[in-house]
Amino acid sequence: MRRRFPAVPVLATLLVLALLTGLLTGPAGLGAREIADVLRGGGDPQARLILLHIRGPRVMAAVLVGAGLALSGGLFQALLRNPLAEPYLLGVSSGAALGAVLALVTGLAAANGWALPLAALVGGLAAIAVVFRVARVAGRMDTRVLILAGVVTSAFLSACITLLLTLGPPEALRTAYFWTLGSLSGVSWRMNVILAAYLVPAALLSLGLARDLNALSLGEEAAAALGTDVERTKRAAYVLGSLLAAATVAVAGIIGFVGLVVPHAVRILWGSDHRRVLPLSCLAGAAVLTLADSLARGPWGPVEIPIGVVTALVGVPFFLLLLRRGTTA
Amino acid sequence: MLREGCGRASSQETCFNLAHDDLFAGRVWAGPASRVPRLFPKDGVLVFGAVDDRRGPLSGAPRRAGAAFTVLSALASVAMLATPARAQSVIVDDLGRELTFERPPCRIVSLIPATTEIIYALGAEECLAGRSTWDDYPPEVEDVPDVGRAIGADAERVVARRPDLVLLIAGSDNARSVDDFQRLGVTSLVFRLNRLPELRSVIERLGRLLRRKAAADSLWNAIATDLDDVRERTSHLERPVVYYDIAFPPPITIGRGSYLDSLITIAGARNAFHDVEAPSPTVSLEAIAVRDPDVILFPVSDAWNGASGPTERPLWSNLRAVRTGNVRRVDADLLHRLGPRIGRAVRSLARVLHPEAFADASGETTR
Amino acid sequence: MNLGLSSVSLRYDGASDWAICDVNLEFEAGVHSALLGPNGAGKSTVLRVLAGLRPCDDGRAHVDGRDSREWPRRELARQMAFVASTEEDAFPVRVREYVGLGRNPYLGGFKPPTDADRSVVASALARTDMRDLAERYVTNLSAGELQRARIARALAQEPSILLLDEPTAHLDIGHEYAVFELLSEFVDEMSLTVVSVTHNINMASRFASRVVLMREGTVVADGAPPDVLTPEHLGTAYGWPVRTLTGDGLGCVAVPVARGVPE
Repeated sequence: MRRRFPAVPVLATLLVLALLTGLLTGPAGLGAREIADVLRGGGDPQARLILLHIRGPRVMAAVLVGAGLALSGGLFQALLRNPLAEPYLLGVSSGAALGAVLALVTGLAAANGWALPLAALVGGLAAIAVVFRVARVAGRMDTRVLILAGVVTSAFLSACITLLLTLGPPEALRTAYFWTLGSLSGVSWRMNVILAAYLVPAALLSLGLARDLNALSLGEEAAAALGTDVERTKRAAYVLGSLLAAATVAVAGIIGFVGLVVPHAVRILWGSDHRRVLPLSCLAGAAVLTLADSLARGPWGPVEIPIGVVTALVGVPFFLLLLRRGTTA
Repeated sequence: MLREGCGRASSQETCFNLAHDDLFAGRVWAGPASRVPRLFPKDGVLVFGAVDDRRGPLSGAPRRAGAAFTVLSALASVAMLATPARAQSVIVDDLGRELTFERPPCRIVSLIPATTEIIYALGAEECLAGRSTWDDYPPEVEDVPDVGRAIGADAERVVARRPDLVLLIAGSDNARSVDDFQRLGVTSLVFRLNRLPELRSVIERLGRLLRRKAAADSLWNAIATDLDDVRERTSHLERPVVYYDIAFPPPITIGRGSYLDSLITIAGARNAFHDVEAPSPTVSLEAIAVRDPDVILFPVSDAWNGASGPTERPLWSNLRAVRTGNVRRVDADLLHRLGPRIGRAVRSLARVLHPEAFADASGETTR
Repeated sequence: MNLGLSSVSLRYDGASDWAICDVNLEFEAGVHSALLGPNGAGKSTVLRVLAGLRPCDDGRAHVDGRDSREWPRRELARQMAFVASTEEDAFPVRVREYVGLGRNPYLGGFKPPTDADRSVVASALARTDMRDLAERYVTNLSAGELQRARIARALAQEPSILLLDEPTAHLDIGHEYAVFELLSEFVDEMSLTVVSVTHNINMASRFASRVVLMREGTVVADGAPPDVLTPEHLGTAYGWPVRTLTGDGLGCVAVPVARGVPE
């Protein structure tokens, strides 16, 4: 079978490269030797602090969030049978943002470092539940209604957010604005563990869903005729995809493009079999976001670019290039 | 010759006569003395009651009045030429626009909290016709009508106050407001207030504009005295490296471009991110860790305390300042406004940084 | 394996009339039955109820004696394959993968395909003469090739029942013939039960051993092609005067005549 280049070795190499770049980038100027020292258990305490407690968790977060976003995007593209679908289409980002803004404006976020991510998670889940409920027509999930419900719910929630921010104090406005731009700083090891504990089962479950998603791409009737439990598959894809999106937004704010571009690029390069697309998207998403985060932190001195900006600026031209080279052989 | 006209600046409904002469338009009142608009400073106005009070300025024999007027205006022009040109003030705002004010504005809408405070400090609060929602000091400002946002102002609400001057804060998000007011023919002045010297310049210009130069000078002197005093008292003290926590997430702090950087220096410390030019750069936890600040200053406000403090944030316990309990609260309401109370703000900051040196309260209180 | 409908009625949402009304049909194993009738007669509905793809309002459909809604979907898919005339555009996949989807009922979520699966796919491709096109993307196939690919996919399910809804709708006469010939082969060589819905009276008469003629939700005639495909039955069913031509090996050709033309 003719393939462009073998997927797993390429992506694995890319991920390793991204990890190394992530560990080497930052204002502290740690070189390879210092990193090796620290990893061996020694090293200067400042270097240990920075590598193990600041850079390390951040790079880990980039890997997990990137994988989660790409997987979520892949699931939504399969569910909606639309390569333009992405994790935030169905209202998750607006719901999470509303949760976060509420926490900020009411001062809840001040009480506890976990309050903000929790509020964002709850907001995201609430939005998912609402959209899910609206899209259930006669006991079935109608995907066209789903898209419409998602878009409309997003708009409503965004309006609520704007209202809150207009009426609230200006400091809240600024904090909320930057939160929505996305940031991987301040993700602790504990948060990473929780995220991983969630991501790994989700990835495995979605792998089990892959064959049914392949069948679903033929249409609901054909899929049913091939033995797929269509309603269960749609529900599972929706729930997995939405929870992944909500978890990533809660931890890192809204980071665009990864969920749209990565699974699509994987499809273009390595075909549409979801048994390949989903796991490869995880790998690719992890690598891409880690690299993007290194760029965001990169050589620009101590000032950081919001990561959502980097993913857009870099992601879009790359994606256009890919589109130009054609969708299939 | 006699000309009737209505002055835009006057709050009075009545029209009054103006001598048609650019040199002293508005500087001559041809009418009964009792009708001189209250806000005209008495010096510089030629008042003569040449006309019958009861029947209004134009009653009687216009020709006779006209003749008298011509003679008097000739005299007036000579007098005007002789007196020093204090008649008008030319103010250049921070967009480089040069505006000439024949008389001090008396219906000012101030859309900058700092200038509102300055106007009160100069004793010119009766000229205040409107303020922005964010203006909260002094407490009496509650009685001044609120015309809405300071940035992206509601032009309609502002114009409804019939202002003769609108004060706007400089900034790209305010560019449209400047255009709006220009289009509507409303005079506006744009002020930049990012650094200490700019505060001095704004006070000076407002003082000149409102004919309260003496008050302006003494206001700035009081501020300067406070700053110098604090600077002197901290000059021999050890200067801790300070991280000023403006916002989180993501971590936003202050750079050289902000007046807070100067305040920190005056208060006897060093801003960890002094090398960054931007006024409020977004940085990373790693960058903060590398600079290893001794103290973290966490501004708190009465109005809003929504963000989590440094001690509650995951991973921040890796910073020495957090581990050693050196996170100190500072008064955001005082510090985050570059206005007349900045002297008090610096004192409160210095007290937080060097409590031993500022144990004597000097009448100021911090929260 | 046999299948059928017992007193089945179905009404679509918002419709005033029944799509099918009290239909009783039994399909014998190993026989090619054709469902004919005008548009809206209920043929496709019957097929879908048989396949368990649509619930009926009354009565029941059964497969091998068991209500088709009670069959677990995967098990049913191992016995019965359904080929529609059109499907949604799939994401671009190669023909081999497309046909490979037919093995889904045998592979759970995590099982990788075995050599046995691969050989089933290969033989399905061979039977439908798609071997040369196996590496082509389905989006690059012609209508005839795509239809054969769908049939190949159905074969990969190793079913004993094959249901086809207008399998030759977009095909030219040559390809139509080829498809029906293939169906005959399935019946003769593999003893499949085939039920096809078609508009092609000629093909039905030549290849089906049983024809069911429907009109407005009910069965109008049912039996061997020569008995059912008469001008009277056809005229009644289609609501249009029809003349038939028969001949050796030509099956039955029904020609609609202009109204008012004498016999």
